[in-house]
Amino acid sequence: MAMIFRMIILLMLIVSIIMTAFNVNQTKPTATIGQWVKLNTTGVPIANWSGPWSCILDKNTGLIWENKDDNEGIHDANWTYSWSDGQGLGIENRGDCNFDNIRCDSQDLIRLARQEKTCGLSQWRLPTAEELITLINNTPPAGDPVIDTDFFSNTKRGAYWTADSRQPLKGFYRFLGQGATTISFIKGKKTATPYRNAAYVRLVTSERK
Amino acid sequence: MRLNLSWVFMHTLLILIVIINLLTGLRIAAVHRPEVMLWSAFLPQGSLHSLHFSLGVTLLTLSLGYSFYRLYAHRFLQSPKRDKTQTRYHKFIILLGYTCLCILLLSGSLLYLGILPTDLLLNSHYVAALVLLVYIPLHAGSYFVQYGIKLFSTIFIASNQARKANVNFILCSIILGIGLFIFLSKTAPQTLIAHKIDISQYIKIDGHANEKIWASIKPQVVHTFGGANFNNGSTDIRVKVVQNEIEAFFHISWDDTSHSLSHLPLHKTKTGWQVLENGFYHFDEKTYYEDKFAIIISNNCDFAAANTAHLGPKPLADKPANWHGKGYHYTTDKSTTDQSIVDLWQWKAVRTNNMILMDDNYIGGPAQVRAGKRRYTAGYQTDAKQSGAYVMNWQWYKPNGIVPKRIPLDTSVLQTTGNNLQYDKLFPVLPWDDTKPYRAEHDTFAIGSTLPSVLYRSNRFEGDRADVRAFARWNDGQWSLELSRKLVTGSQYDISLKENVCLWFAAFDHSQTAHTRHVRPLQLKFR
Ligand code: HEM
Ligand code: HEM
Repeated sequence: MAMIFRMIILLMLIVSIIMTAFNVNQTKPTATIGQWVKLNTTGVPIANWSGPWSCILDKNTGLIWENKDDNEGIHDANWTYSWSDGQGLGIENRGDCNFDNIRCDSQDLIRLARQEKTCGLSQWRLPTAEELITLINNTPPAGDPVIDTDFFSNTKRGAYWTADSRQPLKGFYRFLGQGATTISFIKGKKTATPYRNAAYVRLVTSERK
Repeated sequence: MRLNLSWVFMHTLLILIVIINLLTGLRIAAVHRPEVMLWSAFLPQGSLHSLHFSLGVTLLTLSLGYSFYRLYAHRFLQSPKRDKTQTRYHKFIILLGYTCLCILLLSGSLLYLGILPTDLLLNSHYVAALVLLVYIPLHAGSYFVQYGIKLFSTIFIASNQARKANVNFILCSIILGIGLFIFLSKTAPQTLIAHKIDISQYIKIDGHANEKIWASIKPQVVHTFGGANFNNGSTDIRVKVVQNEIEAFFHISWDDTSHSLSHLPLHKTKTGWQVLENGFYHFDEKTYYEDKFAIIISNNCDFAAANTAHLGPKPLADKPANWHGKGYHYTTDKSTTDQSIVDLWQWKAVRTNNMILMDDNYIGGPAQVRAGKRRYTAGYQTDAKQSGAYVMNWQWYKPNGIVPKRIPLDTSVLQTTGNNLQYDKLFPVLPWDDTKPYRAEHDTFAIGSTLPSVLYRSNRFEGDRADVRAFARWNDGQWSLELSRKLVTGSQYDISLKENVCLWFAAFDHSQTAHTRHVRPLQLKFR
């Protein structure tokens, strides 16, 4: 009698081990929620690990940023621009881009993004230095630009224009008088740069979605 | 009935060895045997190889001690009378257990030594372990059914017979074990000789290895196992090294019957473009992938790739799980000096071979988690690079369909082969400048067309990532790889090639993460 009882205990033990193995869910990674939210072409938020996306919302500041790509359209990260406000300040068409077969300045990108209504928004503009600095992430993987490239894809290790104009130039460029501030995403350095120089642009808007 | 102390000691130790080595061994098996993954929830995680091998040495000691015991115990240890408990059934089962242990010991030791091809050894080790798993209920379970819980006092509480002789026997076994352990850990690495050559001697990195010097050197053969594809996951690697005090040159060849250059090709179906894959979504592609080869260089010579292999879906409590459940590579050294990283070179038959380079990566501590990264790779990182030299030819990867990034200017490089796709004939990379952006409006490709998935933005890496030059050719079932790197690069992400650094080699047969491995490192000696 006792032996049969112990036999049943043993069998139950074995069966329960096998059943548990089949029923325990395998550990799978899950996305965490962070500061950045990807927005698709029409401005609808999408999950962290999906794509493609056209804009990035910063939940901390409420600003929406343009995402860069490499498909030779207006948002291509490789294009550079000279700084111009379109009303006489700055220098037009000194950057390299391939739209319109002419050379470009920051005002061209602003105009085209507003026309296109990137992410359904139309108040695209250059960020202030203070705004652009909020994108700096000082712990990127070795050799990457100082930004979270999982959200700000294709970011260049180079200088990006800000809206801060009439900055006195120093050193070698002093003879040119004034320029606008750029932020470099190599180390996050802020520099007064001549308007005629070619630098990258990432647009921003304060509109609410 | 009471059993003597030596018996209780050996039996208890054996129980521990069998249980722990079954658990660690099955976790090790799960890296390359998907059927074991089902039991993953029961298996330990983390760095387990050293524990498995240490207990292997303990089992070896135990078997030596037990032979001595069987031969001489009746003279002084007073063997217990237990003819009543060992029925014929039990005698048979115990014989089965001993057979398994002998096979495990023999195959385990040979795998460890690495002197024979591994395919059969690994399989017998695995099968013997599975039989031993079944042995537990057949042996212990049926004793329990027969005798109930009073059995436990019988096997764990020793009698007082010949107390002194028993204690001496146990102490001698422990000393033998420690001795064996020290001897084995001193001789753990195998030697890899870096032969001195004159600086004027020119070696062309072209994979031909037709320089005279190569013919004059005997290769060090490394039997590797546990990968995907190949011959049951095993392949033999042959390594030759020379150095001229500034640079080191390697000639490495390995057996691989398939010349795989088809890397995640894009395929046009009725519902749009798809990536041909078999496991890519959980980062364990095993079919549509290029061949690869990896080398680890480390100042640390511990087992399991300098103690960087940490097994299981989530070996780190505060870091994400991995998708394939197999494990991560990372170092556990808390200091962040350059000595604590492990240098990792990775040659890729499509992505880097055409650049005459090897991708220069490293393994460091577990990286910070980034919300936007779907694949967390713990310590496995690429070296600093100025520009990504290659990009994948899709706008965003999705398992159920993608949009190509670019198409060739000259579409004759495309293939339309209907049901009879010959992926290996597909041109494997597209230089950026020979392509134009893909536009859906202009997509006139026939159903069944295939497009390469690798776009070269430039034909070189820049910065630290381009320190290793390498080129390989496939011929007649073998890859032949020549490579060179400066002995000392000065980069904080590289390990210098010097006397006594340890190396490991891993081959990938059209697979993304599943690679072959070997147990003992190769230690570099300059001659
Ligand atoms: C109770 C004894 C043992 C059990 C149950 C056991 C079990 C296992 C299992 C299940 C595996 C995985 C096999 C596979 O990947 O297919 C394994 C791997 C291995 N075992 Fe054992 N083993 C035992 C003893 C030993 C001994 C005595 C040695 C000798 C040192 C040894 C050395 C190895 C080696 C070298 C591997 C391969 C490691 C790798 O894949 O990286 N094992 N063992
Ligand atoms: C006991 C030895 C080893 C085990 C158990 C092991 C296990 C693993 C596992 C589970 C992964 C997947 C990690 C992930 O997806 O992030 C992996 C990846 C990798 N391992 Fe190992 N490994 C071992 C030794 C080695 C050695 C000796 C080398 C090189 C010589 C090596 C090179 C690599 C590389 C390059 C990858 C990444 C492949 C990729 O995704 O591009 N491993 N290994």
